[in-house]
Amino acid sequence: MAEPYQTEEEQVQAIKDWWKENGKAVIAGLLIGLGAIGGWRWWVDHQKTRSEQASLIYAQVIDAAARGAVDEATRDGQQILEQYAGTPYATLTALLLARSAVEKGDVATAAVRLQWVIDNGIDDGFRTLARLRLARVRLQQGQPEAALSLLGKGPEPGFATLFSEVRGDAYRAQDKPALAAAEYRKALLDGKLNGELRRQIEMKLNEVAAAAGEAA
Amino acid sequence: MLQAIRDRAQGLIVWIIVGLIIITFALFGLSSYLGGGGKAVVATVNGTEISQAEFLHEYQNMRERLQQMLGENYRPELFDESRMKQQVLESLIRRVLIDQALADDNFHVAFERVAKTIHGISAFQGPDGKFSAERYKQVMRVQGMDPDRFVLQVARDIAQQDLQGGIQDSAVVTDGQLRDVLRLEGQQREAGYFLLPVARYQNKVKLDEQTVADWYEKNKQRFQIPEAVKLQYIEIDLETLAKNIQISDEEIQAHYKQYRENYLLEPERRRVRHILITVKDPAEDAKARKTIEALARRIRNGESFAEVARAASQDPLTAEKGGDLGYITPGSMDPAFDKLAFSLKKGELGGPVRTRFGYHLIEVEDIKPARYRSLKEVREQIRKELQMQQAEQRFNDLVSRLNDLSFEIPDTLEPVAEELGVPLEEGPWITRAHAPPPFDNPRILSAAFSDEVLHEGRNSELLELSDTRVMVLRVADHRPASVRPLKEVRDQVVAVLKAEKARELALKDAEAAIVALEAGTPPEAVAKQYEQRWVAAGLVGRQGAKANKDTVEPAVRKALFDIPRPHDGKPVFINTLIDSQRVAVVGLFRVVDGEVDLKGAQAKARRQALRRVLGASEFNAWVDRLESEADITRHLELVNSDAL
Repeated sequence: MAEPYQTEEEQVQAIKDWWKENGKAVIAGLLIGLGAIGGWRWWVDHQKTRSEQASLIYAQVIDAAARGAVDEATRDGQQILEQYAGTPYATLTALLLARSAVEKGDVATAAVRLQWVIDNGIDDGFRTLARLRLARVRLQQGQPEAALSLLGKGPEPGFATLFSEVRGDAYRAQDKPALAAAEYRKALLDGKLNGELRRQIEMKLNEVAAAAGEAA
Repeated sequence: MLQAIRDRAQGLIVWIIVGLIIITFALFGLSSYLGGGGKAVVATVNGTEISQAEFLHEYQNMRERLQQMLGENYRPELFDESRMKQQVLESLIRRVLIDQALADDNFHVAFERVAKTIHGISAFQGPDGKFSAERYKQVMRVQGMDPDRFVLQVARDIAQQDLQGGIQDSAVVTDGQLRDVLRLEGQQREAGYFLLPVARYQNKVKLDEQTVADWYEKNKQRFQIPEAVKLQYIEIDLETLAKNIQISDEEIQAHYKQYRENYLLEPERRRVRHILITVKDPAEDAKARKTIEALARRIRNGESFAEVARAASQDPLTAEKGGDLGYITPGSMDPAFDKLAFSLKKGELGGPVRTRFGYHLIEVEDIKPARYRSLKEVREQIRKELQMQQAEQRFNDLVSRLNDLSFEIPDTLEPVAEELGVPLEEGPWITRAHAPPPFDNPRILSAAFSDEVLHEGRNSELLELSDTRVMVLRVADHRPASVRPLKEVRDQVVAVLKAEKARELALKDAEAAIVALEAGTPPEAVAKQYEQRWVAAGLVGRQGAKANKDTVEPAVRKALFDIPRPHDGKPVFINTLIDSQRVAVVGLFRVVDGEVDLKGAQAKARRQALRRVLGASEFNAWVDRLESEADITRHLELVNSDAL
C-alpha cells in the first residue's frame, strides 16, 4: 500500500474494494494450495502403505530364498515386481532374483533382472550396483565389449575399485593383458580393499602381468 | 502501539493472517519452530546434526564393549584414543547416511514384521517361551525405554537389515568368477631354488675409514642421545598415608555399632495378614471406616483374624488365604502399611490404617529378624574406611601446605620436605620418550621438561596425578641432547655397512648364477659353484606347506608365485632378497592350474564364501558412494576435546 490514506474509513474502504476485486482469486488460490498440500500428504501416506505391503511379501521372498525354495521366491518376487514396482523392495527383489538365476546357470534371466534395476532402480546407488553386476553377467555371456560399455569410463564414486576389478576382467577376456594389469593395479591401490578380494586381484594381476611379459 | 494493533485486529486481513498461521501450525506442527538452539555438534551430514552428547554416548559404549571383550587384558593406554574417536564418528556418520537413504528410498516396514521381531526377543518371553505383554512392559520400565520409540527403533533396524542384506546377499558370483578363483587358488608351480646366505660375503667386504666416516655423517640422527633429567620430588599419596595410620579395636567396635545398617545382610522379614475394605470413592470413606472398625471389634472380641479376613476382606488375592500376604520386607508395601506392619508385636492387632487402596487391619504372624555381617567379618573393611577418613584430613592439610611452601621457596625442596615431615625422593634419569613409572605420566613429563623447571631451576607447580596423589618436583640434574661420537659407535656403523655391502655382493653372485642357469648349466652345478645346495621343490602350491606337503618357506613361495608364467616352455629364473640375511635364486619350470569343478559341494561353499566377500564390499561401496555425494562437516576439535 504505497499511497498514503487520509482516514481509517478510507483505508477500510480501500481494503474492501481490493477484496471485492481479488477475493475470489485469493480464496481459489488458498483452496488450490491447501488441496496441493493435502494431495501431497495423501501421496506420501499412500507410498508408505505400498512400501509396507511390499515389505511383507519381501520378507516371504527372502525367507523362501534362504530355504532354497527358488520357485516360491520367484513367484512371490514376481508379485512385488508387478504390483509394487515403485517401492524399494522391487529393486531388492530384482537383485535377489538375478542372483538366483545366475546360480541356476540362467544368465539370460539374470541379465533381464539387472537391466530392470538399471532402468527402474530406486536410487542411483542401486542403479550403479546393477551396472556392476550386469557387467559380470555379460562377461559370463562372453560379451566383454558389452561389459566395458556398461562400466563406462567415468569416475564411479564409492564403486571405483570394484569397477576397476571387473574392467580388468573384461580386458583379460579380450586378451589385452596390459590394460587389464593397469586396472588391477588401480584396484590394489585402495587402502580399504577387503583382504580376500585383494588376494584374488593379486592372483589375477600376476596372471596378466606374466602374459604381458612384465614382472608383477 | 499495542492498542493500535488491537483496534485493527478486527479487520479481515488480520484474520486471514491468523488463519494462515493456524494452518501452518496444523500442517507442520510446532516442532519446526522449537528445535535447535546452542548444543554442541560434532558433525553435520546433509543438514542432520550429530550432537556431542550422542557421540560421547557412542564412544563410551564402544569402550565398554572393548573392556568386556578383553576383560583383564584391557588397558586403556593400548588404544589410540583419537583414532578410536574418529572411527566412532565415522560410524555415526555412516549410520546417518543410511538413515537418510532409508527415508529417501521410502523404506517402510509393515507393523506385522516389527511385531514378529519383538515377539521373537527372548527377554520379552515368559517361561513358556512365548511373548508376554507383561514381561515386555516390565523390561521397558526397568530399562527406562519408551515403548513407542523402541518400536520405531526395531522398525528402523529391520529396514536397515532389508537394505544391507538385500545388497549383500544378492551379490552375483558367476561360473566364470568361480572358475578363475578355483583355477588360480589351486595353481601349482614346479620350482627349484637355492639360498645364498649374506653372511658368506661379510669377510669379503673391505671398508675404508672414509666410507665409515661418510656414512656416520649422513646418518648422525640414528645416534642421538635424547635430553634427560634426574628429578627430585615430594609425592603425597593418600593410600600410603592411610596405611600408616593406627586404628584401635575400640574405634572399630564403636563404628560397627553406630553404622550397623551398613552391614545388613538380610533385612527383617515379617509374615503378615491383612484385611482390606476398599475405598474407591472418597465419599465412601466414612462408611468404610465404620465397617473396618466393626471388623476390628469382632477380632478383639475373640474371632480369629484369619476367619474374619476370609469372610470380609475385599482383597481378592488374599481373602481366601485368611488375609495372608506371606513374608514382606521393609519398603515393599504402601508406606503407611509398611510403618505399621513393622512396628507391631507378633500376634498384635494393628490398624485400621489408610492407604491408597482403602482401610487395612494388620496382624503379624511371624518375625524373622534382620541378619548382619559379624564384626569379625567386617573388621578389616572398617579399619580401612577409618584409616581413609583420617588420612583424607591429613592429605588435604599436607597438600595445601606443600602447595604454599613449594611456591614460597621456589628453588629448593629440601626445607619443604623437612617442614612437612615427608621424604624428599630422587628418581632415575628419564627422557621424554623413556620414563619408568611413576614418571611416565604426561603431567610429570611436561612439567619436568618445561622452561621454568628445566632452565630456570624452579619447583614445579603442584601436579595432581590423580584424586589421591600429588607431586611437586624439581630438576636435580640435567643432560642435554647430544650425538654419540663416531669412536663410540664405530662398531655399529661397520656392522651396518658390512651387511649392506655383503648383500650387494650376494645379489651380484645371484645375477651371475641366473646368467649361467639361463645358458643351460645344470642348476645343481650352479648352486655348487657357490657352495650351496639346489633344492628341487617339485610342485609347489599357493596355499602353504600344510595343504601341499612341501617344505618351501613362505618368502620363497611368495617370490615363486610372483614370477611371470613361462612362455615357450623355457624356465624363468629370478633372484630376490627374501630377508635381510638371505638371497634366493628361484627357478620356475612349469605352471599347473588348479582343478575346476563347478558342481560339487566344495564349489558351492566356495561360491557362498565369495558371495559374502563381494557382498560386503559392494555394500561398503554403496555407502561410500552416499558419503562422497553428501555434504558433511566434521568438527574434529569437539571430537578430540577431553570432555570425557
